[in-house]
Amino acid sequence: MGGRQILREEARFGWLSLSPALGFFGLFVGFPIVYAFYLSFHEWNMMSPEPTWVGLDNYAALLRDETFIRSLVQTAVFTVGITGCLVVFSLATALLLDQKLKQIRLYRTIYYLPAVTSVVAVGIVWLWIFDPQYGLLNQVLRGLGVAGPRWLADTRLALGCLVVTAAWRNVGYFATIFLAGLQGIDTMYYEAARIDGAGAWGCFRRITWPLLRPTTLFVVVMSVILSFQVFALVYVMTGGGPDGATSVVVFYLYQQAFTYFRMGYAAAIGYVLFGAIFVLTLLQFRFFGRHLEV
Amino acid sequence: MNSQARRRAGRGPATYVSAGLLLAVVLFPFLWLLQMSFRPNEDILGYNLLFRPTLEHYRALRVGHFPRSFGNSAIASVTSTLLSLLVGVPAAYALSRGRFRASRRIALWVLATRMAPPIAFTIPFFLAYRYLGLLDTIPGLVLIYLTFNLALVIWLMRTFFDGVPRALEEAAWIDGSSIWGSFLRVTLPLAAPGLAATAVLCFIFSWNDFFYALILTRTKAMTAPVAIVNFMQYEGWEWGKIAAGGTLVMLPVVVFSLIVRHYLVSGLTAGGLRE
Repeated sequence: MGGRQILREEARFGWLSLSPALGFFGLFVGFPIVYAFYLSFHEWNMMSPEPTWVGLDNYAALLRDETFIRSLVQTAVFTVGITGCLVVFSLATALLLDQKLKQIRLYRTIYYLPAVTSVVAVGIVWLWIFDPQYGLLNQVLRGLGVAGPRWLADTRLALGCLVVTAAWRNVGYFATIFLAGLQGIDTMYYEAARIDGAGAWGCFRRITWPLLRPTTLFVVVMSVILSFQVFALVYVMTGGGPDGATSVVVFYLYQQAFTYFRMGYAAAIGYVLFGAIFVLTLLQFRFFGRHLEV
Repeated sequence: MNSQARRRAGRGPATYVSAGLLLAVVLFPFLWLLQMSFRPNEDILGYNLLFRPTLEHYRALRVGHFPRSFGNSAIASVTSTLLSLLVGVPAAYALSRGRFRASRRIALWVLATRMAPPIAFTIPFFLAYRYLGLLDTIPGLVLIYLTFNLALVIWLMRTFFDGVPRALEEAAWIDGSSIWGSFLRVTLPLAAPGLAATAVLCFIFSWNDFFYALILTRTKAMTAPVAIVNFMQYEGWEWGKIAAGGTLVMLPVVVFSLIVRHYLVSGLTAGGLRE
Protein backbone atom coordinates (compact mmCIF):
# COMPACT_ATOMS: atom_id res chain seq x y z
CA MET A 1 0.00 0.00 0.00
CA GLY A 2 1.19 3.52 -0.71
CA GLY A 3 1.46 6.08 2.07
CA ARG A 4 -1.47 8.19 0.93
CA GLN A 5 -3.64 5.13 0.45
CA ILE A 6 -2.88 4.04 4.01
CA LEU A 7 -3.82 7.46 5.34
CA ARG A 8 -7.10 7.35 3.50
CA GLU A 9 -7.83 3.81 4.63
CA GLU A 10 -6.88 4.74 8.17
CA ALA A 11 -9.27 7.67 8.24
CA ARG A 12 -12.07 5.47 6.89
CA PHE A 13 -11.25 2.75 9.37
CA GLY A 14 -11.17 5.31 12.17
CA TRP A 15 -14.57 6.80 11.55
CA LEU A 16 -16.09 3.41 10.80
CA SER A 17 -14.99 1.98 14.14
CA LEU A 18 -15.91 5.12 16.05
CA SER A 19 -19.38 5.60 14.66
CA PRO A 20 -21.24 2.80 16.49
CA ALA A 21 -19.94 4.10 19.81
CA LEU A 22 -20.67 7.73 18.97
CA GLY A 23 -24.13 6.79 17.70
CA PHE A 24 -24.80 4.95 20.91
CA PHE A 25 -23.70 7.91 23.01
CA GLY A 26 -25.80 10.27 20.92
CA LEU A 27 -28.87 8.16 21.53
CA PHE A 28 -28.32 7.02 25.10
CA VAL A 29 -26.71 10.12 26.53
CA GLY A 30 -28.04 12.82 24.21
CA PHE A 31 -31.66 11.73 24.35
CA PRO A 32 -31.96 11.62 28.16
CA ILE A 33 -30.26 14.98 28.55
CA VAL A 34 -32.57 16.66 26.04
CA TYR A 35 -35.70 14.86 27.22
CA ALA A 36 -35.03 15.63 30.89
CA PHE A 37 -34.66 19.31 29.95
CA TYR A 38 -38.00 19.19 28.11
CA LEU A 39 -39.67 17.45 31.06
CA SER A 40 -38.37 19.98 33.55
CA PHE A 41 -40.70 22.60 32.01
CA HIS A 42 -43.70 20.29 32.32
CA GLU A 43 -45.91 18.75 34.91
CA TRP A 44 -46.60 15.04 34.50
CA ASN A 45 -47.69 12.29 36.84
CA MET A 46 -47.82 9.72 34.00
CA MET A 47 -51.60 9.34 34.43
CA SER A 48 -52.46 11.91 31.78
CA PRO A 49 -51.32 10.95 28.28
CA GLU A 50 -49.25 14.12 27.76
CA PRO A 51 -47.04 16.28 29.99
CA THR A 52 -48.53 19.75 30.61
CA TRP A 53 -46.38 22.81 29.89
CA VAL A 54 -45.79 24.88 33.03
CA GLY A 55 -42.82 26.97 31.97
CA LEU A 56 -40.41 27.77 34.79
CA ASP A 57 -42.91 26.85 37.51
CA ASN A 58 -40.97 23.74 38.58
CA TYR A 59 -37.78 25.72 39.06
CA ALA A 60 -39.65 28.48 40.89
CA ALA A 61 -41.34 25.91 43.14
CA LEU A 62 -37.93 24.45 44.02
CA LEU A 63 -36.84 27.76 45.53
CA ARG A 64 -39.85 27.68 47.88
CA ASP A 65 -39.69 23.95 48.65
CA GLU A 66 -38.42 23.72 52.22
CA THR A 67 -37.85 19.98 52.04
CA PHE A 68 -35.72 20.49 48.95
CA ILE A 69 -33.73 23.26 50.64
CA ARG A 70 -33.24 20.97 53.61
CA SER A 71 -32.00 18.17 51.37
CA LEU A 72 -29.58 20.65 49.78
CA VAL A 73 -28.25 21.67 53.18
CA GLN A 74 -27.86 18.04 54.22
CA THR A 75 -26.08 17.24 50.96
CA ALA A 76 -23.74 20.15 51.64
CA VAL A 77 -23.04 18.94 55.19
CA PHE A 78 -22.40 15.44 53.90
CA THR A 79 -20.13 16.78 51.14
CA VAL A 80 -18.07 18.95 53.46
CA GLY A 81 -17.80 16.16 56.03
CA ILE A 82 -16.73 13.48 53.62
CA THR A 83 -14.35 15.71 51.69
CA GLY A 84 -12.60 16.74 54.90
CA CYS A 85 -12.33 13.13 56.06
CA LEU A 86 -11.11 11.96 52.68
CA VAL A 87 -8.37 14.57 52.32
CA VAL A 88 -6.99 13.82 55.79
CA PHE A 89 -7.28 10.02 55.78
CA SER A 90 -6.44 9.44 52.12
CA LEU A 91 -3.36 11.60 52.37
CA ALA A 92 -2.30 9.81 55.55
CA THR A 93 -2.81 6.45 53.84
CA ALA A 94 -0.90 7.60 50.77
CA LEU A 95 2.04 8.80 52.91
CA LEU A 96 2.03 5.40 54.55
CA LEU A 97 1.95 3.55 51.23
CA ASP A 98 4.73 5.74 49.87
CA GLN A 99 7.11 4.07 52.32
CA LYS A 100 9.11 1.16 51.03
CA LEU A 101 7.00 -1.55 52.61
CA LYS A 102 7.33 -5.21 51.83
CA GLN A 103 4.20 -6.54 50.12
CA ILE A 104 3.22 -2.98 49.21
CA ARG A 105 1.15 -4.20 46.25
CA LEU A 106 -0.92 -6.44 48.47
CA TYR A 107 -1.62 -3.62 50.93
CA ARG A 108 -2.71 -1.38 48.10
CA THR A 109 -5.05 -3.97 46.66
CA ILE A 110 -6.64 -4.65 50.01
CA TYR A 111 -7.06 -0.97 50.87
CA TYR A 112 -8.87 -0.75 47.57
CA LEU A 113 -11.42 -3.46 48.24
CA PRO A 114 -14.11 -1.29 49.87
CA ALA A 115 -14.22 0.92 46.79
CA VAL A 116 -14.96 -1.97 44.43
CA THR A 117 -17.38 -3.77 46.70
CA SER A 118 -21.11 -3.56 46.18
CA VAL A 119 -22.58 -0.59 48.01
CA VAL A 120 -25.28 -2.93 49.30
CA ALA A 121 -22.73 -5.21 50.97
CA VAL A 122 -21.02 -2.16 52.46
CA GLY A 123 -24.39 -0.92 53.71
CA ILE A 124 -25.16 -4.26 55.36
CA VAL A 125 -21.87 -4.33 57.26
CA TRP A 126 -22.18 -0.78 58.56
CA LEU A 127 -25.86 -1.19 59.41
CA TRP A 128 -24.77 -3.98 61.67
CA ILE A 129 -21.89 -1.94 63.16
CA PHE A 130 -24.30 0.90 63.98
CA ASP A 131 -27.10 -1.37 65.22
CA PRO A 132 -28.06 -0.01 68.68
CA GLN A 133 -28.76 -3.45 70.14
CA TYR A 134 -26.39 -5.96 68.57
CA GLY A 135 -23.94 -3.73 66.71
CA LEU A 136 -20.20 -3.72 67.32
CA LEU A 137 -20.06 -0.07 68.31
CA ASN A 138 -22.57 -0.28 71.12
CA GLN A 139 -21.27 -3.66 72.27
CA VAL A 140 -17.86 -2.07 72.75
CA LEU A 141 -19.36 0.97 74.47
CA ARG A 142 -21.38 -1.29 76.76
CA GLY A 143 -18.18 -3.13 77.63
CA LEU A 144 -16.72 0.23 78.66
CA GLY A 145 -19.81 0.89 80.77
CA VAL A 146 -21.29 3.54 78.45
CA ALA A 147 -24.80 3.36 77.00
CA GLY A 148 -24.37 3.91 73.26
CA PRO A 149 -26.74 6.11 71.25
CA ARG A 150 -29.13 4.80 68.63
CA TRP A 151 -26.75 5.93 65.86
CA LEU A 152 -28.72 5.71 62.62
CA ALA A 153 -32.03 6.33 64.41
CA ASP A 154 -30.75 9.54 66.01
CA THR A 155 -31.50 12.64 63.94
CA ARG A 156 -28.31 14.34 65.12
CA LEU A 157 -26.00 11.39 64.40
CA ALA A 158 -27.40 9.61 61.34
CA LEU A 159 -25.80 11.84 58.72
CA GLY A 160 -22.46 11.58 60.51
CA CYS A 161 -22.72 7.79 60.45
CA LEU A 162 -23.22 7.94 56.69
CA VAL A 163 -20.14 10.16 56.38
CA VAL A 164 -18.08 7.58 58.28
CA THR A 165 -19.35 4.75 56.08
CA ALA A 166 -18.71 6.64 52.86
CA ALA A 167 -15.24 7.64 54.10
CA TRP A 168 -14.40 4.00 54.85
CA ARG A 169 -15.51 3.06 51.39
CA ASN A 170 -13.57 5.75 49.50
CA VAL A 171 -10.29 6.22 51.36
CA GLY A 172 -8.41 3.59 49.32
CA TYR A 173 -9.55 5.11 46.06
CA PHE A 174 -8.47 8.65 46.90
CA ALA A 175 -5.28 7.45 48.60
CA THR A 176 -4.22 6.08 45.21
CA ILE A 177 -4.67 9.48 43.62
CA PHE A 178 -2.59 11.07 46.39
CA LEU A 179 0.01 8.36 45.99
CA ALA A 180 0.41 9.22 42.31
CA GLY A 181 0.90 12.85 43.34
CA LEU A 182 3.47 11.92 46.00
CA GLN A 183 5.49 9.85 43.58
CA GLY A 184 5.62 12.77 41.21
CA ILE A 185 7.56 14.89 43.73
CA ASP A 186 11.26 15.00 43.01
CA THR A 187 13.34 13.53 45.90
CA MET A 188 15.89 16.25 45.29
CA TYR A 189 13.75 18.64 47.35
CA TYR A 190 13.79 16.31 50.34
CA GLU A 191 17.50 15.74 50.11
CA ALA A 192 18.12 19.46 50.03
CA ALA A 193 15.78 20.05 52.96
CA ARG A 194 17.45 17.34 55.00
CA ILE A 195 20.85 18.91 54.44
CA ASP A 196 19.34 22.12 55.79
CA GLY A 197 18.26 20.15 58.87
CA ALA A 198 14.54 19.87 58.22
CA GLY A 199 12.63 17.14 60.07
CA ALA A 200 9.80 14.97 58.81
CA TRP A 201 7.11 17.49 59.74
CA GLY A 202 9.05 20.37 58.22
CA CYS A 203 9.47 18.41 54.98
CA PHE A 204 5.77 17.70 54.87
CA ARG A 205 4.71 21.27 55.57
CA ARG A 206 7.24 23.01 53.34
CA ILE A 207 7.54 20.53 50.46
CA THR A 208 4.94 17.78 50.30
CA TRP A 209 1.81 19.78 51.08
CA PRO A 210 2.52 22.76 48.76
CA LEU A 211 3.62 20.52 45.89
CA LEU A 212 0.58 18.31 46.33
CA ARG A 213 -1.79 21.25 45.95
CA PRO A 214 -3.00 20.35 42.44
CA THR A 215 -3.60 16.75 43.54
CA THR A 216 -5.47 17.91 46.63
CA LEU A 217 -7.65 20.16 44.52
CA PHE A 218 -8.38 17.27 42.17
CA VAL A 219 -9.32 15.04 45.10
CA VAL A 220 -11.61 17.74 46.47
CA VAL A 221 -13.39 18.23 43.15
CA MET A 222 -13.83 14.47 42.64
CA SER A 223 -15.06 14.03 46.19
CA VAL A 224 -17.59 16.83 45.77
CA ILE A 225 -18.88 15.33 42.51
CA LEU A 226 -19.27 11.92 44.16
CA SER A 227 -20.86 13.35 47.33
CA PHE A 228 -23.45 15.39 45.43
CA GLN A 229 -24.70 12.10 44.07
CA VAL A 230 -24.79 9.94 47.16
CA PHE A 231 -27.91 7.82 47.06
CA ALA A 232 -27.47 4.08 47.48
CA LEU A 233 -25.91 4.29 50.95
CA VAL A 234 -28.79 6.50 52.07
CA TYR A 235 -31.36 4.20 50.52
CA VAL A 236 -29.86 1.06 52.05
CA MET A 237 -28.91 2.39 55.48
CA THR A 238 -31.48 4.98 56.51
CA GLY A 239 -34.11 5.40 53.80
CA GLY A 240 -33.69 9.16 54.22
CA GLY A 241 -34.66 8.98 57.87
CA PRO A 242 -34.90 9.39 60.75
CA ASP A 243 -37.44 12.15 60.18
CA GLY A 244 -35.78 13.22 56.93
CA ALA A 245 -32.42 13.82 58.61
CA THR A 246 -30.45 11.98 55.91
CA SER A 247 -32.54 12.95 52.92
CA VAL A 248 -30.03 14.23 50.36
CA VAL A 249 -30.79 15.79 46.98
CA VAL A 250 -30.68 12.61 44.92
CA PHE A 251 -32.80 10.78 47.47
CA TYR A 252 -35.36 13.59 47.40
CA LEU A 253 -35.35 13.49 43.61
CA TYR A 254 -35.87 9.73 43.69
CA GLN A 255 -38.87 10.14 46.00
CA GLN A 256 -40.42 12.88 43.87
CA ALA A 257 -40.06 10.77 40.73
CA PHE A 258 -40.71 7.24 41.87
CA THR A 259 -42.84 7.61 44.99
CA TYR A 260 -44.98 10.63 44.03
CA PHE A 261 -44.50 10.36 40.25
CA ARG A 262 -43.87 14.08 39.88
CA MET A 263 -41.76 13.54 36.78
CA GLY A 264 -41.43 17.17 35.70
CA TYR A 265 -40.51 18.39 39.16
CA ALA A 266 -37.98 15.59 39.60
CA ALA A 267 -36.49 16.40 36.19
CA ALA A 268 -36.05 20.01 37.30
CA ILE A 269 -34.18 18.86 40.43
CA GLY A 270 -32.08 16.59 38.22
CA TYR A 271 -31.23 19.53 36.00
CA VAL A 272 -30.11 21.67 38.91
CA LEU A 273 -27.85 18.82 40.04
CA PHE A 274 -26.66 18.15 36.52
CA GLY A 275 -25.82 21.83 36.09
CA ALA A 276 -23.75 21.88 39.26
CA ILE A 277 -21.84 18.74 38.32
CA PHE A 278 -21.38 19.89 34.75
CA VAL A 279 -19.69 23.07 35.93
CA LEU A 280 -17.45 21.07 38.29
CA THR A 281 -16.56 18.61 35.53
CA LEU A 282 -15.65 21.41 33.13
CA LEU A 283 -13.48 22.99 35.82
CA GLN A 284 -11.86 19.66 36.32
CA PHE A 285 -11.08 19.25 32.62
CA ARG A 286 -9.72 22.76 32.45
CA PHE A 287 -7.35 22.30 35.36
CA PHE A 288 -6.68 18.60 35.47
CA GLY A 289 -6.91 17.22 31.94
CA ARG A 290 -3.42 15.87 32.51
CA HIS A 291 -4.31 14.11 35.75
CA LEU A 292 -7.04 12.12 34.07
CA GLU A 293 -4.46 10.21 32.09
CA VAL A 294 -3.53 8.08 35.07
CA MET B 1 9.64 5.59 41.41
CA ASN B 2 12.30 8.15 42.15
CA SER B 3 11.74 8.43 45.84
CA GLN B 4 13.99 5.72 47.24
CA ALA B 5 15.65 7.96 49.80
CA ARG B 6 12.44 9.44 51.11
CA ARG B 7 10.82 6.06 51.40
CA ARG B 8 13.68 4.47 53.21
CA ALA B 9 13.68 7.35 55.66
CA GLY B 10 10.20 6.56 56.95
CA ARG B 11 10.34 2.78 57.06
CA GLY B 12 10.29 1.30 60.52
CA PRO B 13 8.22 -0.68 62.99
CA ALA B 14 5.78 2.23 63.36
CA THR B 15 5.10 2.15 59.65
CA TYR B 16 4.30 -1.54 59.72
CA VAL B 17 2.10 -1.15 62.78
CA SER B 18 0.05 1.59 61.16
CA ALA B 19 -0.18 -0.28 57.85
CA GLY B 20 -1.37 -3.33 59.74
CA LEU B 21 -3.86 -1.30 61.75
CA LEU B 22 -5.27 0.19 58.59
CA LEU B 23 -5.45 -3.28 57.08
CA ALA B 24 -7.52 -4.41 60.05
CA VAL B 25 -9.89 -1.45 59.70
CA VAL B 26 -10.39 -2.24 56.03
CA LEU B 27 -10.67 -6.00 56.33
CA PHE B 28 -12.60 -6.34 59.57
CA PRO B 29 -16.06 -5.49 58.18
CA PHE B 30 -15.60 -7.96 55.32
CA LEU B 31 -14.47 -10.77 57.59
CA TRP B 32 -17.25 -9.99 60.02
CA LEU B 33 -19.88 -10.24 57.31
CA LEU B 34 -18.37 -13.56 56.25
CA GLN B 35 -18.41 -15.11 59.70
CA MET B 36 -21.89 -13.72 60.39
CA SER B 37 -23.20 -15.55 57.32
CA PHE B 38 -22.07 -18.88 58.85
CA ARG B 39 -23.53 -18.34 62.32
CA PRO B 40 -26.98 -19.35 63.50
CA ASN B 41 -29.23 -16.33 64.07
CA GLU B 42 -29.33 -16.75 67.82
CA ASP B 43 -25.51 -16.60 67.96
CA ILE B 44 -25.40 -13.44 65.84
CA LEU B 45 -27.84 -11.70 68.15
CA GLY B 46 -26.72 -13.24 71.43
CA TYR B 47 -22.95 -13.13 70.93
CA ASN B 48 -22.04 -16.68 71.57
CA LEU B 49 -18.25 -16.61 71.48
CA LEU B 50 -18.23 -20.22 70.38
CA PHE B 51 -18.26 -20.44 66.58
CA ARG B 52 -20.81 -23.05 65.52
CA PRO B 53 -20.78 -22.83 61.73
CA THR B 54 -23.98 -23.52 59.85
CA LEU B 55 -25.04 -23.32 56.23
CA GLU B 56 -28.66 -22.60 57.11
CA HIS B 57 -28.60 -19.03 55.74
CA TYR B 58 -27.16 -20.10 52.42
CA ARG B 59 -29.74 -22.84 52.26
CA ALA B 60 -32.47 -20.32 53.03
CA LEU B 61 -31.32 -18.25 50.05
CA ARG B 62 -32.00 -21.15 47.67
CA VAL B 63 -35.74 -20.66 47.99
CA GLY B 64 -37.51 -17.46 46.98
CA HIS B 65 -36.36 -15.05 44.31
CA PHE B 66 -32.69 -14.80 45.28
CA PRO B 67 -31.29 -17.46 42.90
CA ARG B 68 -33.09 -15.92 39.97
CA SER B 69 -31.91 -12.42 40.85
CA PHE B 70 -28.36 -13.74 41.14
CA GLY B 71 -28.68 -15.23 37.66
CA ASN B 72 -30.12 -11.95 36.35
CA SER B 73 -27.12 -10.07 37.74
CA ALA B 74 -24.72 -12.50 36.09
CA ILE B 75 -26.46 -12.46 32.69
CA ALA B 76 -26.87 -8.68 32.59
CA SER B 77 -23.27 -8.04 33.69
CA VAL B 78 -21.67 -10.52 31.30
CA THR B 79 -23.79 -9.48 28.31
CA SER B 80 -23.21 -5.79 28.79
CA THR B 81 -19.49 -6.41 29.26
CA LEU B 82 -19.25 -8.33 25.98
CA LEU B 83 -21.32 -5.79 24.05
CA SER B 84 -19.37 -2.85 25.38
CA LEU B 85 -16.10 -4.52 24.37
CA LEU B 86 -17.51 -5.20 20.91
CA VAL B 87 -18.50 -1.57 20.36
CA GLY B 88 -15.89 0.12 22.52
CA VAL B 89 -12.64 -1.62 21.53
CA PRO B 90 -12.65 -0.51 17.85
CA ALA B 91 -13.64 2.99 18.94
CA ALA B 92 -10.81 3.07 21.47
CA TYR B 93 -8.38 1.90 18.79
CA ALA B 94 -9.54 4.62 16.43
CA LEU B 95 -9.09 7.25 19.14
CA SER B 96 -5.65 5.93 20.00
CA ARG B 97 -4.37 5.71 16.41
CA GLY B 98 -6.67 7.99 14.52
CA ARG B 99 -5.01 11.09 13.24
CA PHE B 100 -8.06 13.23 13.47
CA ARG B 101 -7.83 16.42 15.43
CA ALA B 102 -11.00 15.72 17.38
CA SER B 103 -9.74 12.48 18.93
CA ARG B 104 -8.54 13.90 22.24
CA ARG B 105 -11.64 16.01 22.61
CA ILE B 106 -13.91 13.05 21.83
CA ALA B 107 -12.08 10.96 24.41
CA LEU B 108 -12.58 13.64 27.07
CA TRP B 109 -16.29 13.92 26.34
CA VAL B 110 -16.69 10.17 26.43
CA LEU B 111 -15.18 10.25 29.90
CA ALA B 112 -17.44 13.17 30.83
CA THR B 113 -20.48 10.94 30.33
CA ARG B 114 -19.18 8.96 33.29
CA MET B 115 -19.29 12.08 35.42
CA ALA B 116 -22.88 13.00 34.60
CA PRO B 117 -25.22 12.17 37.48
CA PRO B 118 -27.01 8.90 36.70
CA ILE B 119 -30.15 10.22 38.33
CA ALA B 120 -30.47 12.90 35.65
CA PHE B 121 -30.58 10.13 33.06
CA THR B 122 -32.84 7.78 34.87
CA ILE B 123 -36.18 9.56 34.57
CA PRO B 124 -36.00 9.76 30.76
CA PHE B 125 -34.86 6.14 30.65
CA PHE B 126 -37.65 5.07 32.94
CA LEU B 127 -40.25 6.80 30.74
CA ALA B 128 -38.75 5.55 27.49
CA TYR B 129 -38.49 2.02 28.87
CA ARG B 130 -42.10 2.14 30.02
CA TYR B 131 -43.11 3.22 26.53
CA LEU B 132 -40.96 0.59 24.79
CA GLY B 133 -41.79 -2.22 27.21
CA LEU B 134 -38.18 -2.48 28.42
CA LEU B 135 -38.96 -1.97 32.11
CA ASP B 136 -38.15 -5.01 34.21
CA THR B 137 -36.29 -6.75 31.36
CA ILE B 138 -32.69 -7.89 31.11
CA PRO B 139 -32.13 -6.19 27.72
CA GLY B 140 -33.21 -2.95 29.39
CA LEU B 141 -30.56 -3.40 32.07
CA VAL B 142 -27.90 -4.37 29.55
CA LEU B 143 -28.55 -1.21 27.53
CA ILE B 144 -28.24 1.09 30.51
CA TYR B 145 -25.07 -0.68 31.71
CA LEU B 146 -23.67 -0.17 28.22
CA THR B 147 -23.80 3.58 28.65
CA PHE B 148 -21.30 3.54 31.47
CA ASN B 149 -19.28 0.47 30.47
CA LEU B 150 -18.72 1.79 26.97
CA ALA B 151 -17.13 4.96 28.30
CA LEU B 152 -14.88 2.88 30.54
CA VAL B 153 -13.84 0.56 27.69
CA ILE B 154 -13.05 3.44 25.36
CA TRP B 155 -11.03 5.32 27.96
CA LEU B 156 -9.06 2.34 29.26
CA MET B 157 -8.43 0.56 25.97
CA ARG B 158 -7.28 3.81 24.42
CA THR B 159 -4.43 3.99 26.94
CA PHE B 160 -3.62 0.31 26.45
CA PHE B 161 -3.50 0.75 22.65
CA ASP B 162 -1.29 3.81 23.12
CA GLY B 163 1.20 1.40 24.67
CA VAL B 164 1.46 -0.78 21.55
CA PRO B 165 4.22 0.54 19.26
CA ARG B 166 2.94 1.79 15.95
CA ALA B 167 6.00 0.43 14.18
CA LEU B 168 4.75 -3.12 14.66
CA GLU B 169 1.58 -2.31 12.75
CA GLU B 170 3.51 -0.55 10.02
CA ALA B 171 5.66 -3.65 9.64
CA ALA B 172 2.51 -5.69 9.15
CA TRP B 173 1.29 -3.26 6.49
CA ILE B 174 4.56 -3.59 4.59
CA ASP B 175 3.97 -7.33 4.66
CA GLY B 176 0.66 -6.64 2.92
CA SER B 177 -1.70 -6.67 5.84
CA SER B 178 -4.71 -4.36 5.86
CA ILE B 179 -5.49 -2.08 8.80
CA TRP B 180 -8.19 -4.46 10.00
CA GLY B 181 -5.71 -7.31 9.67
CA SER B 182 -2.94 -5.61 11.62
CA PHE B 183 -5.45 -4.55 14.28
CA LEU B 184 -6.73 -8.10 14.78
CA ARG B 185 -3.45 -9.98 14.42
CA VAL B 186 -0.89 -7.58 15.91
CA THR B 187 -2.38 -4.88 18.10
CA LEU B 188 -5.21 -6.69 19.81
CA PRO B 189 -3.12 -9.68 20.97
CA LEU B 190 -0.51 -7.30 22.38
CA ALA B 191 -3.20 -5.41 24.30
CA ALA B 192 -4.77 -8.65 25.55
CA PRO B 193 -3.90 -8.21 29.26
CA GLY B 194 -5.46 -4.77 29.15
CA LEU B 195 -8.49 -6.20 27.42
CA ALA B 196 -8.94 -8.78 30.14
CA ALA B 197 -8.62 -6.16 32.86
CA THR B 198 -11.11 -3.89 31.13
CA ALA B 199 -13.59 -6.74 30.82
CA VAL B 200 -13.29 -7.55 34.51
CA LEU B 201 -13.81 -3.92 35.50
CA CYS B 202 -16.92 -3.66 33.31
CA PHE B 203 -18.22 -6.78 34.94
CA ILE B 204 -17.57 -5.39 38.43
CA PHE B 205 -19.30 -2.08 37.72
CA SER B 206 -22.39 -3.77 36.27
CA TRP B 207 -22.46 -6.43 38.96
CA ASN B 208 -22.34 -3.80 41.71
CA ASP B 209 -25.05 -1.63 40.21
CA PHE B 210 -27.86 -0.97 42.61
CA PHE B 211 -29.30 2.31 41.42
CA TYR B 212 -30.42 1.46 37.87
CA ALA B 213 -31.71 -1.97 38.83
CA LEU B 214 -33.71 -0.46 41.68
CA ILE B 215 -35.51 1.91 39.33
CA LEU B 216 -35.71 -0.04 36.08
CA THR B 217 -36.58 -3.52 37.36
CA ARG B 218 -39.37 -4.96 39.50
CA THR B 219 -39.45 -8.74 39.89
CA LYS B 220 -38.60 -10.55 36.65
CA ALA B 221 -35.29 -8.80 36.01
CA MET B 222 -34.49 -7.92 39.63
CA THR B 223 -30.75 -8.17 40.36
CA ALA B 224 -29.07 -9.62 43.43
CA PRO B 225 -28.23 -6.33 45.22
CA VAL B 226 -31.86 -5.22 44.92
CA ALA B 227 -33.11 -8.61 46.09
CA ILE B 228 -30.95 -8.35 49.23
CA VAL B 229 -32.20 -4.87 50.05
CA ASN B 230 -35.75 -6.14 49.52
CA PHE B 231 -35.39 -8.86 52.05
CA MET B 232 -33.86 -6.39 54.44
CA GLN B 233 -36.99 -4.31 54.14
CA TYR B 234 -39.73 -6.89 53.94
CA GLU B 235 -38.50 -9.89 55.88
CA GLY B 236 -37.32 -8.18 59.03
CA TRP B 237 -33.83 -8.32 60.42
CA GLU B 238 -32.68 -11.79 59.54
CA TRP B 239 -29.03 -10.85 59.87
CA GLY B 240 -27.75 -14.29 58.89
CA LYS B 241 -29.60 -14.37 55.62
CA ILE B 242 -28.72 -10.77 54.84
CA ALA B 243 -25.05 -11.49 55.57
CA ALA B 244 -25.10 -14.60 53.38
CA GLY B 245 -26.61 -12.63 50.50
CA GLY B 246 -24.08 -9.84 50.98
CA THR B 247 -21.21 -12.32 51.01
CA LEU B 248 -22.40 -13.95 47.78
CA VAL B 249 -22.67 -10.56 46.07
CA MET B 250 -19.24 -9.51 47.32
CA LEU B 251 -17.39 -12.70 46.46
CA PRO B 252 -17.00 -12.48 42.66
CA VAL B 253 -15.88 -8.87 42.93
CA VAL B 254 -13.23 -9.62 45.53
CA VAL B 255 -11.90 -12.55 43.51
CA PHE B 256 -11.82 -10.58 40.26
CA SER B 257 -10.25 -7.54 41.92
CA LEU B 258 -7.39 -9.68 43.12
CA ILE B 259 -6.95 -11.11 39.62
CA VAL B 260 -6.69 -7.71 37.93
CA ARG B 261 -5.10 -5.89 40.84
CA HIS B 262 -2.34 -4.35 38.72
CA TYR B 263 -4.90 -2.59 36.55
CA LEU B 264 -7.38 -1.71 39.26
CA VAL B 265 -5.98 1.76 39.80
CA SER B 266 -6.31 3.05 36.25
CA GLY B 267 -9.66 1.33 35.89
CA LEU B 268 -11.17 2.87 38.95
CA THR B 269 -9.77 6.28 38.21
CA ALA B 270 -11.35 6.20 34.77
CA GLY B 271 -14.44 4.72 36.31
CA GLY B 272 -14.97 7.81 38.39
CA LEU B 273 -18.42 7.08 39.63
CA ARG B 274 -18.96 3.82 41.37
CA GLU B 275 -22.07 3.88 43.46
